[in-house]
Amino acid sequence: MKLSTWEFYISEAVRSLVRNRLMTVASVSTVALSLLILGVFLLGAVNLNHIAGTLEQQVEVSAYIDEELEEEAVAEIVAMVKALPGVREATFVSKEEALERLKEQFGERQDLLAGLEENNPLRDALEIRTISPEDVTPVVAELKEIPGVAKVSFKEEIIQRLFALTRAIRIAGLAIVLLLVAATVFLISNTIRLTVFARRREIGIMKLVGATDWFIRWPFLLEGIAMGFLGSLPAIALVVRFYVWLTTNVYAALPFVPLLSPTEVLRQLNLLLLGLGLLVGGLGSAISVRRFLRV
Amino acid sequence: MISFTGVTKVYPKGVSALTDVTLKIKKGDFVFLVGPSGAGKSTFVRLLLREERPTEGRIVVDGVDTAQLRPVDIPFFRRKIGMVFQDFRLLPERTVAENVAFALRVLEVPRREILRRVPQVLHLVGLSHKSRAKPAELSGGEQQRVAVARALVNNPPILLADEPTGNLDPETSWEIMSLLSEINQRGTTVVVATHAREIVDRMRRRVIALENGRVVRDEEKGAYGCEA
Repeated sequence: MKLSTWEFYISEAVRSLVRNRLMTVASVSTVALSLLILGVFLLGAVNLNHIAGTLEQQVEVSAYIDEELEEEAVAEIVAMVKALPGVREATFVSKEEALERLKEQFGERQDLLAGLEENNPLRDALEIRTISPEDVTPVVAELKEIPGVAKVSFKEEIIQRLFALTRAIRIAGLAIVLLLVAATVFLISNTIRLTVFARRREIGIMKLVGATDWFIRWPFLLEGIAMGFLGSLPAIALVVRFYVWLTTNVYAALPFVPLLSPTEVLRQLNLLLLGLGLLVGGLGSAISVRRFLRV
Repeated sequence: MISFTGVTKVYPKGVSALTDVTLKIKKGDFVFLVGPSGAGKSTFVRLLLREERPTEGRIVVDGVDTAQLRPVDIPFFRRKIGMVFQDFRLLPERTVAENVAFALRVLEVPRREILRRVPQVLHLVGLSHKSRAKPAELSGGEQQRVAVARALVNNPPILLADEPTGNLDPETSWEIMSLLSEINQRGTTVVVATHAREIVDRMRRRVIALENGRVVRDEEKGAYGCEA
């Protein structure tokens, strides 16, 4: 393909974008808006995923130990538990330590716990973290088999809810993304259709003098791709500003919420939005070129 | 250059536009294709351009059997035939020179070549002085000359004109026909589908008359005929 040919394509595409400037602006805005919504949504999704992942790692299993056991027997149990497959970490927490923690949680109101030292109702326990959340169920089963373990408790419900939430987010996300992409493709194909209509005379002459089909198609494809590109720029700019603003504020006000840092996510997200913009633009015009050009 | 052998075209609704047409047009010929509306002139043109395929028969143009053409070959096939229409089909927002150059640009002719050929062909049609004008600033005859220049700029072996003088007054029509005749003298095969009885009668060229889809007359130095 010759350089002058690409000059021709580009000048034809620009000519057409300028000629239908209202539709161009409308299409570019739609691309921008769709990509913006998509970007914000994706940021929400990756962060929720990240938070869910962090919480999943914090899930622990508690094994309460028979009160009558000697210290050596307890140590033996700790060693056995540590050796179980799927266990990342097992810490022994005596009932005195457990009471101290409880007091810390009560803070100023720890007078409520007064007198419990003499008659501590809490039990010695092993706090166990698994390597992955899927390991929880088999580890719990193993623990129950160990003599001297009186009771096993774990936050099954929380795990299940987190899993359900993550799944729901993914499904809803996919649906929204598809809807937005479809709307954008539709709008761009509509604009290109008007362009094809506006240029039917030129197309007729091009066919007549023997221009190849691809030669006729390229300017339209470029036009759609250009609209996608132009739309992705403001979307990226806004998404970046929004996320920087959000993380700055969240880090300051809610430091324990583990949001991903802008540098971790934005580069990939921006590339994705740009790529999607180009793709949607190209796809939209390809549909129109196919349906209305009939070259 | 052009040969039709037993060509029949029946449209899907059962209308038959051409019936068993056999004719030969040699290289360098100048041919008038005449006949009343609906006689099959337009179908003849469309078959020649390979916009449609014949229902039966064989069409060979410049050594190419049109039945053998794949869709990707058609654009290259069209480059053999320069086409002129009744309604000129110029691009209104481009100048005369740009309109002619457009035909070369879409064929990816190098710029230097375009800059060389466009003035040449504008000179041939006598419009060198109007190269920067827009079509709306030209008379009908001048616009048709631009269309002829565009059809010729790529040096096709065949020039096909479909009612080229349909929108022009008799004086201008005559000028356009003289131009086509001059082009024929330079070696291009020229086929003119027309209603212009007076011109046909005066020029004494080969006339092929169609009626109801059949060739009813084919004579050298013919006239339009009395029946139409």
